[in-house]
Amino acid sequence: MVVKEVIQLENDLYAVHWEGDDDHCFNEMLNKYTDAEWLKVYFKDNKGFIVPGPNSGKYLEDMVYDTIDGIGEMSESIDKGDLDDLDGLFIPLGGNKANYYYAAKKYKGGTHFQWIRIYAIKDDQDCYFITGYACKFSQSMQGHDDTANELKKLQIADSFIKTNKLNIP
Amino acid sequence: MKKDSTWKFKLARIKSSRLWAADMARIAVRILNYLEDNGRSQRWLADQLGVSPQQITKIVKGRQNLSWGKIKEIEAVIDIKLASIKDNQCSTHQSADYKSGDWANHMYGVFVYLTDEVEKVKHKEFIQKPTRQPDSYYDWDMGVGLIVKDIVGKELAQKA
Repeated sequence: MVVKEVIQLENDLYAVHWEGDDDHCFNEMLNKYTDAEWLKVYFKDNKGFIVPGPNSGKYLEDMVYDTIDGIGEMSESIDKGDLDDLDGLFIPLGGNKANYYYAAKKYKGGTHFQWIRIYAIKDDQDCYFITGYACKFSQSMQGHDDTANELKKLQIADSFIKTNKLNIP
Repeated sequence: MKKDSTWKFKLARIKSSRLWAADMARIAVRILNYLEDNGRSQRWLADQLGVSPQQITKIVKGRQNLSWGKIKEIEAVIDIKLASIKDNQCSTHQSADYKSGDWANHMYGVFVYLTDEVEKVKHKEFIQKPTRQPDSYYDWDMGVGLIVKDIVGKELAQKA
């Protein structure tokens, strides 16, 4: 995984564009998590993680509708000014802080789309760098390939931001 | 550093489509299930409906706010129920016709729905129960009348 470039979305908000992806990760998430066809295939492929699991009892198809509605809810709250309070939007990721130079953060979906995560690094200038997104299907991030991958991306982005001093105006 | 604002347009689109997005996703999944179960392609559906494959792509992604009439057209091709007012899976009040104020097309959608409901009552009363006496015709008329009264009353209340 290689950082292709870092894109500025707003004053203190950035998103990583990963090598091999068509767009930066925030746009990629908006495209995939509002696409019923993509979500249907994705949840079906991950059926083993969903039933039984943290979302036990939820039908796969309901998860498609809830994800789409959840992204709609997120878009409304961002429109109402959530981006003015990035510290309120992203909470600490937890885990091993020693793995990061800066702070690893996450956005967690509301109760009816609680599997959605957006990951970010917050630097010492209070800038947020969105590194990726995932549906969290396992207790630990290492428990599923997608979230394990997001952990790696967080660490690569953390190192990239530090090395390239992206926080310096 | 490169800046991007396309995400704002995407978010605005998502926000403005929120009222109908989940309903259209539900319809999209039902269409996809049908195509999968019957070994049909999206291209086949496009040909059947006389629309472009791009339009079908938009529909199966749940990004097209389908009018009630279009939903009924698709139902006629694939012969499965995609949505109904009764089960609240696709309220006509979330239809493109209703929102755009196209009252005539909206009421056409309601009429199509009523026809379906009347057919259901007819089937239940006269096909599943062939031994019923002629006096029950009156009950049937009453039943249909009550359905019409209920649905049209709700429509008028919404319009008001």
